[in-house]
Amino acid sequence: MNASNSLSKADLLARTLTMLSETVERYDLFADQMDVVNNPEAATLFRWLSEKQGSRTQVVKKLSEGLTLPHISPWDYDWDDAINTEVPGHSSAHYMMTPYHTLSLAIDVEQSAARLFSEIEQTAQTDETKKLAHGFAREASEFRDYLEHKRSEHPLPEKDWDEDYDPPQLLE
Amino acid sequence: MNDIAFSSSSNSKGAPQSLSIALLGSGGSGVMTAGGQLLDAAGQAGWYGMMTRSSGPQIRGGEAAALLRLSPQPVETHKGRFDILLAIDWLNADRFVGEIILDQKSIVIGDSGGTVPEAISKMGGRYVELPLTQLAKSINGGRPNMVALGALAQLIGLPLRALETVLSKSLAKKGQDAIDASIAGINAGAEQASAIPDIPDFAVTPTENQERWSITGNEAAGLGAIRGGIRFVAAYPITPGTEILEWLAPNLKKVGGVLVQAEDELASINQLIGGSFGGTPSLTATSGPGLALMTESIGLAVASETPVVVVDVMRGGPSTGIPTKSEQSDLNIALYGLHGDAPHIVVAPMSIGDCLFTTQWATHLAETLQTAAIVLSDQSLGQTRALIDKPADIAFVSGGRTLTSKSENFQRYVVNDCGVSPMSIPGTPGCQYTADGLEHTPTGTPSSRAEDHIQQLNKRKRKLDQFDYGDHWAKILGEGETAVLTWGSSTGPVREAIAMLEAEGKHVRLISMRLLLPIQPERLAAALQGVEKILVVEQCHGAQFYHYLRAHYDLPGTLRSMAVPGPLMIRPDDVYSELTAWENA
Amino acid sequence: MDTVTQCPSLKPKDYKSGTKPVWCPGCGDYSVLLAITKAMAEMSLSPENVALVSGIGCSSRLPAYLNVYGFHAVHGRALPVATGLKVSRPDLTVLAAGGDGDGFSIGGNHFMHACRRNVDMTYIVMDNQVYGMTKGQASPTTDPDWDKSKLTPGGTKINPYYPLVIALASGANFIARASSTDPNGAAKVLVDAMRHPGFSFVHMLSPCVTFRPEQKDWKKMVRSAPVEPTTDPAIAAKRLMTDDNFFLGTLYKGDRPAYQPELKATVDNISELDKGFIL
Ligand SMILES: Cc1ncc(C[n+]2csc(CCOP(=O)(O)OP(=O)(O)O)c2C)c(N)n1
Ligand code: SF4
Ligand SMILES: [Mg+2]
Repeated sequence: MNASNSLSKADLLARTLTMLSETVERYDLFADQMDVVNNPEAATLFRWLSEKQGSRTQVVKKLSEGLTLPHISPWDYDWDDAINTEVPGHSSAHYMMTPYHTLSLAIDVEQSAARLFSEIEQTAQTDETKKLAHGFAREASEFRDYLEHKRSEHPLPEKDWDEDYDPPQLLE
Repeated sequence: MNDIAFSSSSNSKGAPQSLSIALLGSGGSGVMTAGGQLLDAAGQAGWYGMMTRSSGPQIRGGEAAALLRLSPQPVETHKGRFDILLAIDWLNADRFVGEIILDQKSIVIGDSGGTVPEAISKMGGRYVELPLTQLAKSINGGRPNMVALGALAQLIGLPLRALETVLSKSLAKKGQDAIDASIAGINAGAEQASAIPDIPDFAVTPTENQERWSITGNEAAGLGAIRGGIRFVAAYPITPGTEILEWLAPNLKKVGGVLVQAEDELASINQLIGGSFGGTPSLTATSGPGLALMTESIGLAVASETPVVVVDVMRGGPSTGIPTKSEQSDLNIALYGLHGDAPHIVVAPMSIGDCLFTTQWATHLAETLQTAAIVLSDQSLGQTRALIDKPADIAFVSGGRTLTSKSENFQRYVVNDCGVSPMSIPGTPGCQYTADGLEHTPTGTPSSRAEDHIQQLNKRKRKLDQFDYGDHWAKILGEGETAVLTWGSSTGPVREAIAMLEAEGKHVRLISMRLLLPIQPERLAAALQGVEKILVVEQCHGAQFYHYLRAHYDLPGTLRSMAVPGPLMIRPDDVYSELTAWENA
Repeated sequence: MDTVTQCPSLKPKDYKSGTKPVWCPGCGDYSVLLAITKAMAEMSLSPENVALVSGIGCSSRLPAYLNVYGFHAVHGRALPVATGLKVSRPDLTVLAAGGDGDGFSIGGNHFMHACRRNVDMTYIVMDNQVYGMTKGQASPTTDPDWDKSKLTPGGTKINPYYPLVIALASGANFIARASSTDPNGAAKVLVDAMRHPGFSFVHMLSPCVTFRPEQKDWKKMVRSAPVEPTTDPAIAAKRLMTDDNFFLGTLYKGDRPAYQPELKATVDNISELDKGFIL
């Protein structure tokens, strides 16, 4: 999302909500993927991330109560997998990913989000959106810091972490 | 329920009295048209009859023959021997030797000044010349085929009035002048023929005139499809199945259905699967090569439990084989051609009229049992035109697509006692599912677990095995310790051979199987009670039917195979001789 | 394309079935699935009035993951199944989907004829320039010198196939490219494709992370086509012939009427048909 200088409070909330709930869905999907490929550690971490993101979504929902949020079509958001990383891209998952990778992925997401909200804060026209964006940016950086701390508890992945000794499956 | 395999008025003992006529001429001479008109007129006059076409490989022109058999009783097969052969010209006529047999009693008629080919003249028969071309020239717009038609009518005692009615109807579009010229032609021919001395009495007396139909097996299959509820057809043209499609295209339109000409048979079978998945009963017609291309997707229809009907109008094979002639040699591919364990239905009509019933029944079975049904017709049934009694109007109550409203816990492939699971059609809320050719769980989710595979295999087999096919599985006639086991178009000649023996006081049992898959061992065993000798008759070089019987049934007594390849049709005399020889052996 | 009932309250995830995909984590097909659900939600389609038909391949596993009516057919035959369905049930919104092998190789003939027949449906080909499901063989869109498959040592040495050009030449009424690397942009293309009458072809770049890991770079290579969709086939031809496979967006929008026979009975009773046989 490029910082838009005409964002109203409802606009900002609508976009933030979509962003957060897509992130929740993506973490859920990644957790499912890791279940399917038998990577329980990553699956557990993704579920935890989804839960965290879910409670933030609830908070934003609360803030939106009483407001009519505009409908924004997917293509009217500027973020996408190719350029922005506020929502983790499908291609960032790997079946052998370690907890370290999993947390790094989430750190990148929060980092991007923090940057985005700071930009919005700077260009916002009203105090209300400024304040809101400031809060979102702070939350994202705090969560990023927390994730970094958590990541430091895990070892760095080995050099050949993604080497698979078996060939892929031949199906259908 | 009325079985319409054989017309009811054919119960009298012995082979039907009949009269066989061959009308020959080069393409363009109009022998096929004249033959068709003669057949229709015979029907008008209260006779039964049939007509087949035989021709050279040329697309236009070339030699052609209309082969007719007329009788006071329904007839289903040619005798081989012809009473009258009339040739408008003799070009290349020797190609029909083998198909047309003449003897001393036959009458051979040719145009004045022509030369009968030796191959024909040496068979015997009385040769008569008529000035066909000359007479035609004397009439404004006259044609030799009409003169020939008039002559034939005169010879066989067919009222000219009947011909006039038929001509007025078929030429209505061409206008009164054309009708007048044709009628003048038949009158001239008739007058000329009346001068021929010593014409035998062919004794083809008309029977009481009830509603009678003129229909080919291919048209009958088309009508059976629509009566069965078919409203979507996708197909790729192939001889001799194309006429089913030609009849269906305009007629489906009338009933709110549609025929799509597909890019190939792979497309047609898959379009059916799509149409049927959408809730529209769907059918295609093809011949052996087309069936071969379709087999992968017939397997999909079986696995995904999507009803489809495939009519294979068999022709001489393999490969392009003899596409204009009949054979029963696609039996193996229909029975066993699918990959994997794929229980399905294979049925075969045993007469021209039965193409209607059997196709309708196949549709009912496919719909009710949510599976693929293959109908094995053949060129001789499909392309022969016959005069038959009005077929019975039969209605089946098919029960395949059961879900029309939201259902709790819908499981498309639920495993139950009868094996038929509820099927929803798109548009039904709350019953969305994915039809799958991958093995699946009861909900349709792909699964490679042994338990799911065995459950679904059992279910797909059970639903076919447990169904009550009633008396339709076969036609059983007569008593006797000798039985003939046959199927499809071979039934006609077998039946007539048995009638010939019957007239001599010999009793032979006829069992013609309409239902070939799933197998019916108990029913066949009951039908064969007391039988000591079985002759298996089929039009096929590889004795596929014989091997099928040996593989799946316990057959009592001694067994003999009469497996005759095309292109020449099995004749009643052939079967009669085989049975007589066996008895005397 | 008209849909009778609409469901404005449905979110993209409501179009998912809940079945967990078997795809490799990282596969582009996940984004395609997401883009499809976004497009359906955006169009407020009722799931029961939508059907998606596929062939065989990784990408063809898609129907089971959606909550609409689905048909997972055999290899290469999604288009004829979809054709039969749409022609006999014009009230449904019909989509077909599959891979480059499924659609351009074994099903190539159907692709041409579906374009030509112009039945109102949308066909999504998830192109990863490889046969994913059978372990990475070359497909019709693979570069001639890609040599990673055991079946074609040294590469195929055969020029790739240009699906968009073939679609145009065969008569497709709508031609677009989208990329799984941009599911929101892909959703837009899909909505346009579904709304456009006739046969709409969407060439969907969808990387295979397992057999073509280098395709991860596609996300840096794709870009929006700097042009408006043209209705002129001549302009489209030039555009598609010079295309480098990475321009995204709607490239051609034709105005040919869709093929849809009328399904209206003209006789009250089928016994009318008997009349043709009565002597
Ligand atoms: C008749 C038939 N031939 C071959 C196969 C094996 N097969 C399954 S999927 C596939 C290729 C799939 O490639 P593509 O369509 O590009 O799909 P992807 O897996 O790349 O998404 C092949 C050759 C088959 N299932 N059926
Ligand atoms: S093999 Fe390739 S195409 Fe198939 S699921 Fe894996 S990444 Fe996707
Ligand atoms: Mg592929």
